[in-house]
Formats: sequence, C-alpha cells, structure tokens
Amino acid sequence: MGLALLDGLRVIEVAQGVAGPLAGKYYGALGADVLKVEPPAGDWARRAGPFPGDEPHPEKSGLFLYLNTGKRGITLNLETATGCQILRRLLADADILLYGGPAGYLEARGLGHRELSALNPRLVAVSVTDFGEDGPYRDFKGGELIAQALGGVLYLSGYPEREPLKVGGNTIQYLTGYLAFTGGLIAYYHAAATGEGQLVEVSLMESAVFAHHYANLEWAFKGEIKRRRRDQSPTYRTGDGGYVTLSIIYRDVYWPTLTRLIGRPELVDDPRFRDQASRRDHWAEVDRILAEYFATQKAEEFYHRAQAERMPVGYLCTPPDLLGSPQYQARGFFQEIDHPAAGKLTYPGIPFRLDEAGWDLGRAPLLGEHNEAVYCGQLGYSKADLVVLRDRNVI
Amino acid sequence: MTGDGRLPLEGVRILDLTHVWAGPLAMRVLGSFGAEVIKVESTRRYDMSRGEAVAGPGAGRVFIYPNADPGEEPWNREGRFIERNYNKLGLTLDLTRPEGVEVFKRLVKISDVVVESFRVGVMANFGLDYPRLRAVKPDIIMVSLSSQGQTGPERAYGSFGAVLEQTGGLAAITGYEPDAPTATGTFIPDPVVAALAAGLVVAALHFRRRTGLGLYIDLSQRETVTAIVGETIMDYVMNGRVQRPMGNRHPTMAPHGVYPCAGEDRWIAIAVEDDSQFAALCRVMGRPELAVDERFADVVGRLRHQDELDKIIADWTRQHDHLELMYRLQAAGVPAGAVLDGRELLADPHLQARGFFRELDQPGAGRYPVSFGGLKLHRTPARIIRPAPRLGEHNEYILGGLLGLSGEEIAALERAGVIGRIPAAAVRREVEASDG
Repeated sequence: MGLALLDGLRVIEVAQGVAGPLAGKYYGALGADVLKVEPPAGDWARRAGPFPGDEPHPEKSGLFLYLNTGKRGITLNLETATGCQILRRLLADADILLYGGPAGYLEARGLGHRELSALNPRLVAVSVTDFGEDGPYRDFKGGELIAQALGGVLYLSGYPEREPLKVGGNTIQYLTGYLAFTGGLIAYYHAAATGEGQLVEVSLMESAVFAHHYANLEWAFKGEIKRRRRDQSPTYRTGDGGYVTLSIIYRDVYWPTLTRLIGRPELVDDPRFRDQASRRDHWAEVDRILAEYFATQKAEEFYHRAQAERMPVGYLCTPPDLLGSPQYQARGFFQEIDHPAAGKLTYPGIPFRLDEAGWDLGRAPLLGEHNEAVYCGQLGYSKADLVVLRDRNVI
Repeated sequence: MTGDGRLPLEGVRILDLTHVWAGPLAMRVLGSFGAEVIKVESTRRYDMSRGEAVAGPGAGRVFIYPNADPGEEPWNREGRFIERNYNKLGLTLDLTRPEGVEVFKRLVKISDVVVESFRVGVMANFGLDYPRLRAVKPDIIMVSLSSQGQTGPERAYGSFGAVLEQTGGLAAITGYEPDAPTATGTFIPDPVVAALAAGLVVAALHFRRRTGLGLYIDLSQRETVTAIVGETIMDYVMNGRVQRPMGNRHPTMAPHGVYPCAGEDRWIAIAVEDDSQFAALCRVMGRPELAVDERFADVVGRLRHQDELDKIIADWTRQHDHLELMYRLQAAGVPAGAVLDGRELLADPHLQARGFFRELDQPGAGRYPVSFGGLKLHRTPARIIRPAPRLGEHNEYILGGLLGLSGEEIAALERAGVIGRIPAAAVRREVEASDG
C-alpha cells in the first residue's frame, strides 16, 4: 500500500445499519481515521444476520463485519446529557460527522447543525435519513421497501400483470451510502479550502429517485406513464439451471450478432424483427425463440461466447460463482480478514484499484473496543472515570 | 450560501469521455457542484444516449423525445441524454485521428481529471492511457469506469446495467420466486456506480491537493455491484448458503409486501418492523382482533402465516386509495409507502418541498423538469448552470478560448472531420438524399 487518499481525514460516525456505515467504511479504506460511536447495545446491524451457523452473536454478524471494516469503535449513550457532551468534545476537532438515523435526532439533543458549527465551523455534518431533515414526509417511517415504493423504483420493477417487485437486498441503502460518501467529500473539499463546514443531506427516498429517471422523463417529455415490462430485460433459464438476461435485443447494432449466436441468422431478414420497434411489436415470437434456444444452452458458456462477439450480455452469478470467478481472483477482489471474535473470513473488497495509492480494509471493531484508548488516551479521562461512565450507562 | 457564492469544485476541469449513464451521471453531479466538465464525443461516435442520428420508424416510441417527436436534430433532444448531461460543455474530437489526439493532449495539460468508460484497451489504442497522459501532465487524475476493471481475463467484456445485475450478484436475490431471478426494471447498477465514482474523483482531488500527486483509479462496475450485496457473500462464506429471491418479503419482518389498492395498477408497500406497528396496522384496518390472533400475535407466527396475512391485508387495501392509505398508516406509525409512478413522482409534495426536480431550459427541446436532487449541500447547494450540450456546441469556446487555436486552425479541423456538430451518419444520409 502506498499513500492513502484520505490520510488525515477525521470522521466520527454516529450511524447504524447500512447506508451511513458504508460511507464510513469507504472513508476508512481510503485512509481516514473513522471512529464509530455506537449506543451501549451496539449498532442494530450487530443483531442482523447472517451469523455463522445461524447463531446470533453481536461480534459475528456478517452484515456488521462487512460494513464496519477499517474503523475504531466506542460506545456512547446519546440518551444521556453526559453522552452528548462527550460527543461534542469528539466533534470539536473532527472533519466529518456521519450521522444516520431518524431526522431531527441530533437537533433534539443540542447537536443540531447550528450548534455544531458554533463548536467547529469547519465540520461537515452528513445526515443520512429516510426522507431528509425537512419536507412533509420527514417523520414518516421508512426503510428499504418504503423508499423503493415512494422513490418510484418499485413501480418499474417486476411483471406488468403482477405486483411491483422489490429490487433485492438493501440496494437503495447502499446507494444512499455511496451518495453520503460523495456528498461528504465534496463538502470537505470546500471546507478544507475555505474553513466553511456545512450540513449535507442524503435520504433513502431521494436516492431511490436518483436510481432511475425513466418514469419522470417519460411523463415530462411524452406524457406517458412508464410501466413494468416483461420484454425490457427478459431472463431465460438455461439447460444447466442457470440464467441469462438479454437487455439488448432492441438495439439494432446487436440484433444481427444475436441471431447468429443463436443459430438463426435468417431472422435478420425477417420483417417482423426489422428494427427495435417491430421487435417490440412481435415480442411474443422473439421471446419464444429465445426461450427455446436457451433451454439447450449453458449459461456461463453463452456469456463467454457472446462476449467474444462483443455482445454485452451476462449470466446470473451467485456468491459461489463470484468467489470462484477467475476474473475476481485475478483482481484480488475478495480479501481474507481476521477478526478476534469471528476469525478469518473472506470478505468482498473495494471495487477499485489505485495506482499510486492503495486501500486497506482493516477489520470491524469489537463493541466498545477503543473506549479506553479514546476516553483515556484522547479525552483525558482516568480509568476510574470510565467506571463511573459505565455505571451511569454512558458508555 | 457561502460569502462569495463559490461552489466547492469551481476551478476543477474534467474531461468527460464517458457515455451512456454511470459516468455521465457521476460527472453531471460534479458539474452541479461547480466543476467545469467538458464532454468529449466525436461526430462518428457520440454518446449513445443521444439516440439515433436519423430517427427510424418507431423512434418516437423507443426514445424519449419531447412529445415523442425526434425533430430535426434528434441527437440533441433525447430526455435521458439531457438529464445525464446538463451542466457540461460539449466538444467533438475524433480520437482515432492524430490531430484529435494532439488536441486532446493539449486539453489534458490544462485539465485536472480525465474520466473514461470505454472498453478496456480503447484509450491505449488512442495513445491516451494513463502513462501517456501523465507524461503530458504529471499530476493528472485519471479514472476508468470499465465493466470489469482493467485487468483479469474478462477485462475486455462489455456490459449494460442489466448485465451487471446478473454478473455482480444482485439479480440472484431479485425475483418473485426463489427459482425465478429477474432483472430490475431500473438498471440500478448505473446510478450506484455513478454515486461512488463521483466521490472517488473528489477523493483523488483531495489526495492531489495534499501530496501534489496525480492518480489512476481503475473501477470495476461488476465489483461495485457485488459490493452492494456484501451480506450475501458473507452468508455464503459463513454458512455455505446461497440466498435466493424472496419477492417483496423480508427474512425477519412480516407483514412486508406490496398490496393492491383501488384503481388501475395502484399499490402500497407496507413493512411492519415490530409488534406495536402490527397492532397499529390492525387498528387502522378495523381488525384489532388480528393483533391477538395466535397466528399473527408474534413475529415468528406472522412469518409462518404470511400467505394468510397478506391475503387479509390485500382484501382491505384493495378498497382504498394508495395515497390516502399511506397517510392513514403513517399517522398511526406504520411504515407504508404508496408506489409512485412517474407522474406522481413529479407531483409528489415531499419531492417538491425538497426541490428534487428542477426545470431545465433545453434549447431545441423545451423546458422540462429534470432530476436534480439526491445530494443536498446546505451552504453550497447544487446549481443548474447550463443545459446539456448540443453535439460539438462548445468547440469554438474550448478550442479557441481555452486552447488558443486560431479560427483558421479550428476551421481546418472541421474540414478534416476531426470536429463537427452533426453526426457523421446524419451527414451521410443527407448526401444520399441529395444524390437520390
């Protein structure tokens, strides 16, 4: 590892779950000093699976371990005035506060943006919420599915004859985390030059709208409601139990190659399939031809064959496919990380390589692992003070 | 607003060679915070999002033109192109020609960042890979946003968003049934890559400011998708378990689904986190007895009896308006969201209050709302500085104003076809028409 991109950046993370911690993880991987502040019960991600052997353990959550690499960790109870006072001291010389939780939470504790900028004018406060710090939905209850609904993602996903379909996993939360990462850095770039910090907001609902644009554009430009379509990116089951999705059948540039790849070159001259619009009009026939063809194929083999002809198609990869992928192995994407409680495990890495600099994942902190280092070493409390703070449920 | 009204990235010049969605969106975000983004295309190979040079039959349906009308210059009025590329300057430059490469290198000398998303090897073929850019400008920052990275056996493979969902591992957990994975309807990898890539550019700018050094960033879009399904990898590593699609359901929450409402294709999402929210849902439904029904009283029971529970909820939601129901449920503390379509998004009171959409005056197309939000910086808010560039719109400004080429030199480049304002395919078509 060479020089770190964000060496010298000091981040205080008061965030749980996926989005806020993801931003902190990337800051940490790029060399920032990231201090994660957890409530005494810990980030809720510690209670979410997966766990080895399905046995819940606060230090062994796969979600938490993955999202919190490269951070130090302390516990601090922000439900106490003492806890808030300690956070204030920590923020006095921080560059970025990464907050994730309900809107208005910090404000209600005297840690709103105005108070914080009086304390530290250079501080960039990144707020990660469901709906933002203002607006009529501010206090709505949210989460992944609700964000996908109100953000317009759900309406576009799935089959037209069925209910809208959620994009799997925690996708919008991850997207929000990347936006938080970016927003914090833009504001920090400004703060480092001018001494002016500011509040940066991202929200799950707005990220979901950021995640597409077909719906609003179709309405604004054409007065049409963009709907779910079966023919947009049809998925075919292959003979070996895999899947291939084709999103490119409409593009004229790929149609001749596709007809050749599936052994039906005569279809190029078929007037029913002449151009994008006519292939849409005769979708049922296109679909039948492709389904019949793929039923005899092997998914990964087709992927390589099509890519050799410069056709941008993929095949469905599951975690074992990815862990065994020669491409991922060649790039060293997966990293083995040792953790005092969870042991050695293979983790997904960071999806980019840096030529001059490097990145280092590190590992996730144990709950309260750095209490003594931070409270005694940094803030000057004695070990006896720590006993008091623990007994009074502050840490 | 800051004292002098400066945006954070003012003074940063970016040469944007990216096309389609992820790269252009990332650079539009940086442009909205003050970077001077020069979009570099050529008349032979322009950004595919512009659509066809000559609109074929049915183009009005396939592309997003104002009133479905391709107009005389369809390449300057496609909605997706406009939304992904406003706040940029437009330059055409044929990089397959030595004169084009020469001009590009002169631009690199006065720029801070070069971003590209070509197939691996294309920049090297142009003679514009990182070592050669660095030779021109030692502290240049270069970012490559390729499908699978610059190394490895599949480095030359191409992709669109729907491909990345598959090859990155997101499609494996998206679908109605465990054995029926499907694509998302929104090609979500592109905006995810955009959100990360924009930040990486700024991280590199920090690095350069501190060290004086440039940097090469080699991003893999496929790996970016895998990074957003990290917990499925961890589950496999820990338990050998391959997670499958679970429709709209959640492993530990119930009810958790999308339910029909009154009207055509109207839906509401409900995601109950705990027992008290379930009791509140039952009260709003007028069915308080369900909260103590032994099938549904605890979360394990609700997860086991989801089919019955979903049917009961759907029978109720079907009688109600999706928006009205959302307000009632939210007032009772139940996480609920109306499933909004494009028209509803534009009219949504929350997005309006947040200023998510902004009207953009696009010459040749008209005034349309475009996405603007997602990143709200309170002191230095994003701005709409200029519309999306027409093909080659700023050739004179960039070549003459920034590089100091003479009018004669610029005219020579135009005569040689190195720069231009009209797609080569459209020119060919005009010649054919005049011949025939």
